[in-house]
Amino acid sequence: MRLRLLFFLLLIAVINACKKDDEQSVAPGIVNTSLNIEISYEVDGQSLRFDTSGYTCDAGYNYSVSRLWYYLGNVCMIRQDSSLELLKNFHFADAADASTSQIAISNAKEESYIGLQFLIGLDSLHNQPGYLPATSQNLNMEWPVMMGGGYHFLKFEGHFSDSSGLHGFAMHLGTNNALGKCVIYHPILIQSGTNKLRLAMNLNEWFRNPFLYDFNIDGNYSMGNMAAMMKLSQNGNDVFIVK
Amino acid sequence: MYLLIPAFCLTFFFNSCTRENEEEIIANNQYQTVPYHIRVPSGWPEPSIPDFNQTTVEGVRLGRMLFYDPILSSNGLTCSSCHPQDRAFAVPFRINSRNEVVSIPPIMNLAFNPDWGWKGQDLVLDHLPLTDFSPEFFNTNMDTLVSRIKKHNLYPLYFREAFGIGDVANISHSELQHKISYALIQFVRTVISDNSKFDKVMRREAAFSPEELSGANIFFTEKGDCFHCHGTPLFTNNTFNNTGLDSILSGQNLGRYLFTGLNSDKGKFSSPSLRNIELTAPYMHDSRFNTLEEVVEFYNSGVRWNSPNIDPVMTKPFKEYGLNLTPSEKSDLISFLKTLTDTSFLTNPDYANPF
Repeated sequence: MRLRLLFFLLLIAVINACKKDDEQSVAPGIVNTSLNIEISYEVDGQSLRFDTSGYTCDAGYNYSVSRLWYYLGNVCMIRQDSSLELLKNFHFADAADASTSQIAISNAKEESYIGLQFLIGLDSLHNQPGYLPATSQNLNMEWPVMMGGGYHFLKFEGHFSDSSGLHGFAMHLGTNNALGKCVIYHPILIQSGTNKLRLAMNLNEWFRNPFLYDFNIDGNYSMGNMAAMMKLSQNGNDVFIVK
Repeated sequence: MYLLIPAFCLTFFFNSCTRENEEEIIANNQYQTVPYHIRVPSGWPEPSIPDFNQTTVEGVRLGRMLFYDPILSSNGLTCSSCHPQDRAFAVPFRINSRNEVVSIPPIMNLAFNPDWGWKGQDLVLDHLPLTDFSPEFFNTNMDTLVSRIKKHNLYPLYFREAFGIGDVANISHSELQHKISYALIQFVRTVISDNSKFDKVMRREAAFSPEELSGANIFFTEKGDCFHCHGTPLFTNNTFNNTGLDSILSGQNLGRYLFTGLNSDKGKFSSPSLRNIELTAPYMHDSRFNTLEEVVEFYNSGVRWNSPNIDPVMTKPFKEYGLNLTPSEKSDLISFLKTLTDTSFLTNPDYANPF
């Protein structure tokens, strides 16, 4: 009788031990709340297509886009009382790489927010030489130490045409002075389960408001040109909308 | 009688739990490899290594031997024929089958690069050496190669220890070529150049001369604007760019377009690393420039700004017609470029001919 009981107990113990891992992965009664911020790109309603001319900026030039790399920093939700809830310190995005067009926030809080805000670039803590992980993306965004160090906030490059022909443009932003901030007031309700938020960047806004940006007047190359970078930085404050 | 049921269940359970382990153990008894941890210099990206060809001590040992061994070819060539260590594993140029002059990029720091080749056509580095068996390179007779390996006093053991291949005659020629290719690339991934004067200055072990410092200022500022395509620490941004070598593009000068078929890739080439650039003349994808002086003069005054798809950073205000560097500034820039020469890399015994 004892032997029989011993075998039985042993069998149960072994079966239980085998099951434990499976059971841990499915915790009953707990549903993760996550937020997926999806970013798309457009030019006044047209979807962005790289290296395709046909876009027109407010200064009147036709242009195409060959590169769009940037950081979003301190991505926060704005609570009802205007306090901020930090979701992510920084996010690198390459508009040509769909895998970077999503910001996945696991363990989001179920709450009703009045909007979100983020930097286009990195705050001064992160914008230091070698501060970010040495990924290829971050290394390619480095801002040379000899020019102040840290990282490019934005690389927006392409070609434009005027009466004299085709030219390149390279709108590069960097340095703490040229850090832009987007504040978007839009009711956002985070509920249990998976939530989605769609953001769209309208590239023409970089050249529109509050300053009309003209490649031939303000410069088709902004790096090292603080006046051009300050205009772009302020124009960048409303390049994103919630879709 | 009732005792038999739980006992049977228990036995069955234990058997099913251990079967996979037993199979693994059997497999591992055939060859048990030791992981080779590729050194990652401070501030460098993590190496990019596919699961199917993890780096092992045994694989690196085999790859290094094969790299220097004419056993792979029917014409006496070895990998090191075109990639000699004292030239930073680069060869000045070769004439391809279309009678075009082609520059062979150096083999260094490839563990940290996502792709290889001027046009980025070699998407999987581990498969790159497969082309070397062709008539254009090694002209390998696979039956002869199998016979040579079998007769060799070390290779049978090394193939078994690296890949668990008991007899190379028992696998297909294709599989053997793949294993050789994998071993070669395992060795190649260990080849790291990070001890130039520039690196020593960054580590505060050395100081630039006034000329080198002046050159660094040109390189890393808008004056020369070299850093956008040749940033630290690899001195390449691993992207494809048209720097305006030609106004009209044809033949191999079409660049990445020949691989992707995209008009927007016409004239674009992979930005090469500038590490050890002093040793890898002649320059550009077609070896058109013999000296660094010629290269710097091209960027100073020779850029064809109307070249299709020219990189936007080449067309900055006032620079569409050149960098306007003085003779002294050009000389300083070259002085800085020479600080990227890593002499210890050229004689590192870990990368040297083992024979």
